[in-house]
Amino acid sequence: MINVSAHIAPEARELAATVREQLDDLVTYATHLVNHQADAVAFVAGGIHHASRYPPARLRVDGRAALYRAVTRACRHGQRFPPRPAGIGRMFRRSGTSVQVEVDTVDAGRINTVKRAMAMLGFDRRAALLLRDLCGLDYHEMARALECSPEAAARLVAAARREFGSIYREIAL
Amino acid sequence: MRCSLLALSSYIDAELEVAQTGELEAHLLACERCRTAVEHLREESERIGALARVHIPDAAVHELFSQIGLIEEGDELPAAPPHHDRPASVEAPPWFGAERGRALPWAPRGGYESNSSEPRELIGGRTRSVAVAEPPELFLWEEPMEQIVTSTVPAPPPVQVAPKPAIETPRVPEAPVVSPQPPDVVVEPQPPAVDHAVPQPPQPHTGGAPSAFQRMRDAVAVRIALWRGAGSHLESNVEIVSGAGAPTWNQRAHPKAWTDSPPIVVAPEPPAVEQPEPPPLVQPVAEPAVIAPSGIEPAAGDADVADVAAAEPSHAALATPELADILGEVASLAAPLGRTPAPSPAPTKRHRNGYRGPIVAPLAVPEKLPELVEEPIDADTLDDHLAAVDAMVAPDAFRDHTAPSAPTAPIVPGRHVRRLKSQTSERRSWNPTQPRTGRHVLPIGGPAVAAADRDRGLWIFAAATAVVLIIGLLIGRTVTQPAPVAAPHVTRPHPTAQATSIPTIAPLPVATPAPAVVTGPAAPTPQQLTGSHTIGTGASGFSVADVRYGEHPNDFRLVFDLAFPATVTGAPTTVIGYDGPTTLYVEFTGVTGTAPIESMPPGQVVESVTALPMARNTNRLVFKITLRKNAPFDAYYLSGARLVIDIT
Repeated sequence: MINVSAHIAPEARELAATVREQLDDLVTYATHLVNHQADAVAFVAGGIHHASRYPPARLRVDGRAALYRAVTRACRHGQRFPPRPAGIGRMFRRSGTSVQVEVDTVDAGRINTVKRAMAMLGFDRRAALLLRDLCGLDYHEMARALECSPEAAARLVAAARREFGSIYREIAL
Repeated sequence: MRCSLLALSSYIDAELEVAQTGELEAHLLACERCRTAVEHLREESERIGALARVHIPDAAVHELFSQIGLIEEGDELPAAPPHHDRPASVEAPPWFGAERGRALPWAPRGGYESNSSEPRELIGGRTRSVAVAEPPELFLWEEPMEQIVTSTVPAPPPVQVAPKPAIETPRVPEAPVVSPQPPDVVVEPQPPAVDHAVPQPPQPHTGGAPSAFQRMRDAVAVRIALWRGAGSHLESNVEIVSGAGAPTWNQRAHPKAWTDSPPIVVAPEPPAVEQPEPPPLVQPVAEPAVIAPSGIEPAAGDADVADVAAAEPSHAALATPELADILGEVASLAAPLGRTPAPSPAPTKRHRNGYRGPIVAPLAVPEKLPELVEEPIDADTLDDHLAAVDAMVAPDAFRDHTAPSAPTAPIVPGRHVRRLKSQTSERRSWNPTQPRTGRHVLPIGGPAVAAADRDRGLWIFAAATAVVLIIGLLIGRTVTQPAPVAAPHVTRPHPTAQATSIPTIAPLPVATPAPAVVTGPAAPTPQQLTGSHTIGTGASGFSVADVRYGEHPNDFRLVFDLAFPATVTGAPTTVIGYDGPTTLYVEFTGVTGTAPIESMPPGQVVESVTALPMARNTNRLVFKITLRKNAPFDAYYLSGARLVIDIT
């Protein structure tokens, strides 16, 4: 990834507009992806912070798929904003909370059968299901977000639906 | 076109080309299995899409953007998109009274909603046409219980008595019809025979913490689902393969989630054998066939249950057998709770649609349906019931007792159950964001990602490091501790009396003391001494056991008693000489150590006798004798390695 931070300032407004438009969906996606409210907000903030390093042309071309890719990457690798202290020192001090915002996630944080079944899926399948059925991304956008081909995204969604249905029918009595 | 889950999934996502879409739609007209699969896939998609949404207020967005650095503190936010409140999700399964699943061959009863006039408080603000009995909500750990509003919950709707079905009772033939093929005899499943049957709608969920019964119901459901993991007919592969020749779960060559390998083509079905038409179904009592799914019976007037089941045999073949089997078990398991009357164990026969469920005896014209009473359960009773459920869900509990001659197949747990038992994730790489799937997560629904889980490895590493450090400190302290000096047990006689007595030839007590570590000045070499005398035979293995002194008639006598093993003979080489006017040195070669030397009494010729520290790995021991005056001396060995120095 090319660091174009020198040109970020004029484009920050454009990124902010895109993020503002997709922020609710991004936090919803991350909340159901990691199954934790506070972590979801931290991961979304980390993903947006990472997306601010993307080239502006990439953001214009990919649009929301670039944001979903950044958030998915942050959730996968546990990248928060601000980053947690690393090393042995973090055992002796609990770092401060990353981003303190008031988010209405009461309903989204509630565990139900669907989320229980989703929690048993793998990360990629869970992300594919949420991107397609919750966020409404098409296969090409999913390919951008999941860093794979559209064909692989289609297979991932199909397999995820099948596994989710199998698990859901097992536990949803 | 062959059946493909990938094609069906892409079809419901509208991602297929026009030509492929037309081809698939034509295939759907002929393939009932694919139609069912499409319905299933659409249901899964709708369930995911109905998950709750998160809305972030503008103030929080401004704060978030300013923390990230997208905008300044004083800047205004970009224009927000219009916020739409999505309709609430329908997350309860259809057999709990929710909307009818398209892939399921029956519809939920609608009598309760039509009769109820009071608004009901449902989580998520659902409409009245959706879930009546929802799976118990379990909350995240951070969510306080005060967030759940329980005081404004309206009263449950009044109990409505369903009208008695006006169905004519056909006459019962005197002689039962004997079927030519006993396995194809069709007997409709009947609800359990009860005396007092009053249809009562299930209590609506009014929010708040789940009750003990709800928790137990959830625990029972999860345990049954886990135990019945072998009933999963779906695989993780993309292609739909089933029927004759379909591989089982452990025969797949590619255990990964999806594969690019060519799909496994369904083997051709064996030629159909035309079977004679079974005799007409004869029901002794024409009561509506009702299945009691976990305490929710359809309304008596809703007679389309059996009709739908009969009209859609293929759907029933796919969904009904396993589901009805599970529901019957749940009803029987819930019997100890007083929730639902348990069906009596009945023999099972094979349904023409493949259904192998319990055959319930016909009703004896029930006047009332069973009353659903939810008794309060305390914690002890709940534990007892859970233990009873564990005993009931033992492998023997679900054995088919009606077919003792048939070989019982070993119970193979499903892949999800195996995954839970193995406690391993499908992802081989460590992923902190992937929740742990285990028994501790599944029933309670706690936060799947927590900081404690991620830091656990570091804590273990720190504990191991601390243990290693402590062990190292203990070992090092033990090694570096100096060994104690072994003092020989030699009686010290009176100085004067011993010194004046004639030396005897009796052997001295043998002792091998360790070398003494004494700090002091460096000893001079023998060449530096003046007036030196060298005596001894050069033997080694001695140690100085004692130093005695005393006045003699003509001189002052010093006696060094040496200890030696029995195998040693002779005397060590000894050099005695002056290094100064009043400093006399006695140097032993072949002596390994000395016992502590006591201080000299004042007023004598000799002021002090001091043993100088020995060099490491040498057998050279030097004594420094300080005199009051410079006086000549005479030294010699007596028998028994006893050195005598007479100072005139």
